[in-house]
Amino acid sequence: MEIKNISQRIFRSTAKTAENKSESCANHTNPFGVNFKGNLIKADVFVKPAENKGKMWASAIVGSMNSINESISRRLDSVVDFGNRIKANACDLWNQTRNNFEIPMLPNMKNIINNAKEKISDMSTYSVKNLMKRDRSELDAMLQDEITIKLLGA
Amino acid sequence: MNNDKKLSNIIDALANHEDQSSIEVLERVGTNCPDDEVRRLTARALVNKNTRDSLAIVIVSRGKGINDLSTNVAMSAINELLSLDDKSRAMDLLSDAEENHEDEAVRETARSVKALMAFS
Repeated sequence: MEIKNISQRIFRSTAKTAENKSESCANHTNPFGVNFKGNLIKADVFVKPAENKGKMWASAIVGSMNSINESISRRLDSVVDFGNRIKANACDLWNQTRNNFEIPMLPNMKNIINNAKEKISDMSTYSVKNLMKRDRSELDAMLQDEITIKLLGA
Repeated sequence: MNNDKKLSNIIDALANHEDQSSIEVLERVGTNCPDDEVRRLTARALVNKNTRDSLAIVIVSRGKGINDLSTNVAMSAINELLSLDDKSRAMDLLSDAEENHEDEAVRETARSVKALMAFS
């Protein structure tokens, strides 16, 4: 194939496309006779923007209100999520602490409380003032018991 | 409360008990105890009671109070006697023991303690 033929073929095809376009415009019922990227352009596109200005403002306000609501609800959701997360973390920490320390702490506390009760009871029972209220024979037995304990301990 | 504190309180309670026969318990149980500390506490309580009966146990009885074989117990009893505010009863008993007691060791001890008390 020659270079000349190639160029003719190219130009011819281009011309044909232009013809097709003009034909499609001429044959169409659209009074404006305009296509844009294959879509038919209707009359309302050509209405002056000033006429739609009110509608545009209203639509803009409604749109912005919606977006404000969405942003507020999004922020509220994130705050609620944050609170729930903190609560969950605190519960986890408490459960973990309780599980870790429950077993060793409670017996120690019981022992401390029991020892304290025993000491308070002893201080009351073995105070000189209270001992003097007891019978002589009772004190005799108590003295012998304590001496026995001392001798066995030594 | 430990055992020593309980013993000390029981001995003090017996020494200060309204029933005068409680001194008999201290003599029978306390001064015959094999433990030095119990004997020391008993002698101290009897001296502090400062009656003729209680002082007689620590001054006149052989092997008890100021005549105890344990130096610690004897010195503690002498120290309590020296600390008394009213020494009159103790001095009478010491004079009587110095002159009339059958045991030479008791008479010698009574003489020494009486001399100490006279100078204190």
